[in-house]
Amino acid sequence: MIELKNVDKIFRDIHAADNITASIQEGLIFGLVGSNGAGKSTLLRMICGVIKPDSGEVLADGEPVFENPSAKSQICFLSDSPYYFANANIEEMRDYYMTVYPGFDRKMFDSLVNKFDLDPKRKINSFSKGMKKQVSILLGLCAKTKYLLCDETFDGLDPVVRQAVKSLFASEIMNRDFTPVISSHNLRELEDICDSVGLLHKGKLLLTQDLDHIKSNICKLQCVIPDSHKEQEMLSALRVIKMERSGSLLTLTVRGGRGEVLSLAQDKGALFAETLPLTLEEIFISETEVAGYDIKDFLY
Amino acid sequence: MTSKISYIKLIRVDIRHRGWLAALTCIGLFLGMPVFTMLYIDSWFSSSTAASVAEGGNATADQSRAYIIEQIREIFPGLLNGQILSYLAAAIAMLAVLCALTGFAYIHSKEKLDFYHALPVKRGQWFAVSYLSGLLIFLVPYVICAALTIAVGGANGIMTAELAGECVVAAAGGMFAFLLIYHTCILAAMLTGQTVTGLLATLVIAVYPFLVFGLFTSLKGIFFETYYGAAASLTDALAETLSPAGLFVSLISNTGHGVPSTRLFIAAAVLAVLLLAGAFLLYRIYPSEAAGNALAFPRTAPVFKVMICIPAAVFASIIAKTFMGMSGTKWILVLSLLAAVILCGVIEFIYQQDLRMLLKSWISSVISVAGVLLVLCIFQFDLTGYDTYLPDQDRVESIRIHPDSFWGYFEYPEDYSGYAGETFVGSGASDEGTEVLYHLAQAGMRNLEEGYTPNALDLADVDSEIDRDYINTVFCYKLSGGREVYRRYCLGREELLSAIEDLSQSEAFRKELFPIFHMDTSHVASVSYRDAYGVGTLMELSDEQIQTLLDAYKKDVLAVDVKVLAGNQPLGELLLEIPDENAADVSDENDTVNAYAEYGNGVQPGMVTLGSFYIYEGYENTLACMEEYGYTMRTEIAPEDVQSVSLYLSAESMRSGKYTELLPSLSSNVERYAYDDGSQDITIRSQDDIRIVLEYLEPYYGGILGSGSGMDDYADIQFEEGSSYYSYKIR
Repeated sequence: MIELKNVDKIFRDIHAADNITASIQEGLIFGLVGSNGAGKSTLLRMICGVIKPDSGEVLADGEPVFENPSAKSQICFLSDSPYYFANANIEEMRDYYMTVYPGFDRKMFDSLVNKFDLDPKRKINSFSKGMKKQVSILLGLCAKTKYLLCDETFDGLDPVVRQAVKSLFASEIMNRDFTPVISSHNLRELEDICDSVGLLHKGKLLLTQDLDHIKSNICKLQCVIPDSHKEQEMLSALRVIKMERSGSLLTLTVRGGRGEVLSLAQDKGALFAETLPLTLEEIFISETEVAGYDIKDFLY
Repeated sequence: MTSKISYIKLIRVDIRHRGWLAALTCIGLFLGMPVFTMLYIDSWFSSSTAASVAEGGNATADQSRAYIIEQIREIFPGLLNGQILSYLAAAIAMLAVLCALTGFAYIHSKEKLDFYHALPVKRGQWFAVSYLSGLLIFLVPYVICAALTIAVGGANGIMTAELAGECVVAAAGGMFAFLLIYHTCILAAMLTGQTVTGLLATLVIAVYPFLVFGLFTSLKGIFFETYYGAAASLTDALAETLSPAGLFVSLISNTGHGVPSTRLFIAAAVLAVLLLAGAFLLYRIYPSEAAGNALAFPRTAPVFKVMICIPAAVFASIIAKTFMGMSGTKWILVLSLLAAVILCGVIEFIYQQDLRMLLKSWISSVISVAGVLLVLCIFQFDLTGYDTYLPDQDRVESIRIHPDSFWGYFEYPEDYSGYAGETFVGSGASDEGTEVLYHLAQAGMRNLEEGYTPNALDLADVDSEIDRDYINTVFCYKLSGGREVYRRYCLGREELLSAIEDLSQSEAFRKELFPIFHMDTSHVASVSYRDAYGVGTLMELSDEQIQTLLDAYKKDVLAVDVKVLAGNQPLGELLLEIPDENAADVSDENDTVNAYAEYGNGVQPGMVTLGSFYIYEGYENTLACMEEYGYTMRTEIAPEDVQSVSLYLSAESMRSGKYTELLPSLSSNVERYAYDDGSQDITIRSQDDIRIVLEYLEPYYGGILGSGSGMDDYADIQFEEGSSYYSYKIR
């Protein structure tokens, strides 16, 4: 498990990480979402030991990460702009990773390179941006570290490769102790892959929860209740996050399970009532509004 | 986590990634060391000129070869570290910079930094990997090339065990020199976030102490009237010892001569360790976000700006002043302030890389300009009281002086034993002498206040009042703590002569004053003399006769009245041939000649000839001794001995009609060449004319305190037996 305890980091006048406390459970895919400049990369660079927090501590399986090769050997960081040696080809990078990560699975790597149709002899600097990302992911995956930190790694991958990578992640999770941490500002991309998410905004971690848990505890209710007194009773009984009215149709974003919310509406004599699940995007917009953040701050 | 095997692997991989640099190092060093040495040695052996130097061109082939081998041995260690081939020294410095920058440039790139620092390797290990890789990239080829160079020497019969030792020292000097620049560049890389600023920082760190302390010396020379620059000062020593560039040059030069200086090696080792330790500590705290910024630690930016701007601005103004040939100090202030403003802008641009942000750190700019102003004010108004400094008399242990005229009048053996500076004479032996010289110094101070300054005398016209009546004299005060302080004053000739007369009452002073007492006369190999003819005549004397003659001379100089030395014309001078201490340890083989054949006056290889052992009319002991041995000083020049006389007459003399008596008396046969400015060269060949002109000529001697006038016009005499060593004064 990766633990962040009151982690704080300031770059000159920018508070990149503001007293963050969180934990990333093992065996799950953790999504780190947030707007541009929210501090995702900084947080990942602190987790992998590139940056030392100004205060607080980052622990991997109970060990501090910074300047600790033992802890860092369990973490592989894939930067948003991966670096390869000048004139290096895939084989040379593979050999280097083998030097640094003794658990590197060469056989698997060669096999995947073949499957992804990458030429192992070709210089990497002649690859496209997407192909370079593929090489980076394959190197990280085959390093066989327990934690794989992917900083915007899925950006630039075509849908087929993206799906293939997701499958690989799933397979690895099934086969070994593997915990990918994926940062992105694209919520839709993470929605169908992440088990849990952390929402980062302006250096603060707004929430970190299991995605299913989030989704099962928030829903959208659309209903028509003719009796205004009963409508008021229903609103009082529900934990309303957001409310919109269009004529007699009331649209609410509320906390709670869909069945429970629907039952409550029907009990109040609703002429029409239905509950709808929220997308991850809608959940975050709602949550950030609750937290007092302007929705316009977010980019998809 | 990372095993020792993988640690070595990391170094190997790093070297492989920098294969181009390893190849460049190998090629550069191979060409600059063994290949150059082969060509160099071959050029020596094939040089007929070199061979003919030995034994006056009559040497046998073996002797010539032996002579050349001796010469090459003398310089051979310099072939290993760039002392002979300056391109090699430059290559060592350049390779040091390349090894450092290619090894540590990754910290200037966010992508590379993320990559390396995310890997399960400690920062200290990364530092060691990059450091050792760079070191190996240079050291391995260097050591191999050094061995090959020595082998080339061995194959040509040059190498001896002693020379091999000197070569090892020279190679060690080259390695230390490399380390100094290598470590400097690594430290600079740690202080910066960009490779370009890293390079600039390397330059700054390498020369900064040299710049600051050198500037201190220069400013003293420019602003202070009493400053004496030739004496090695503390600032000079600090400039050399604390500056990586200064030490680099000193190491190459020193070890290249095969003379190891322990002090230099210790200084280099200490500085190298400090630079490396600083770099390592900075690396451990190097902020990842620094990549791409001009400086790694932004808070240091204003400090560096002020530290660089103040000395660099003043230095730039001095350079500009020198190039423009301007005298005085008024332009230094203007130029320094202008340079400070420009430098602040340049430095700020390097920091911000945005012209609109040049005034962002205006406070540090103001401090820089104010600092320049303050420094110049300190020197301009002598706020430290440098010129008015005269140590309390009770703190002065002794005072020694060196009038400028001593340069031309005396020739001390110390002048030929390496760079020993001037020979000072003074009051080491008596308190009375100290008092005399202290009063003389006070007189110098008074002259200073009245405007009779050393610089005024330096710039004075010939035959002006100050030029006639005054002479610059350097004082060396030895204080009770052992410290020596130097000052230069403009003194009246009369008061200086009077002081020297007083001091000359002491035999100890005379022994300091006269060069004959500065040497072991038993080492004098031969004696010659020059009289009015100015042509050296070798005296064929036995060793015993030489000693007798020199003892007689000693007696005479101990007794002579100083006024005679100042005002009388000597009859001639003795020339003593003594061993050249610089070359003393070179000639191991007795039948070969010395590498320093052309050193000194070139009479005999390995020897040096000292002149200026003047003989005055009253030197009865010396003259009698010479007479006894069959040598008489000629005081007149016989016209029949003269082949021709060349007169060189200045335009000023021609305009003033100085020679209205002489020139019309010459026949029309003389060869005249008139220049556009009015000056004339006249060559006289007829006996009649020679007879006339000889009446007007006398050998030029400045006297112990100089003549007080320059010699614009002079004559050269071509004798039947050869050219005169003297130029003659025209009355």
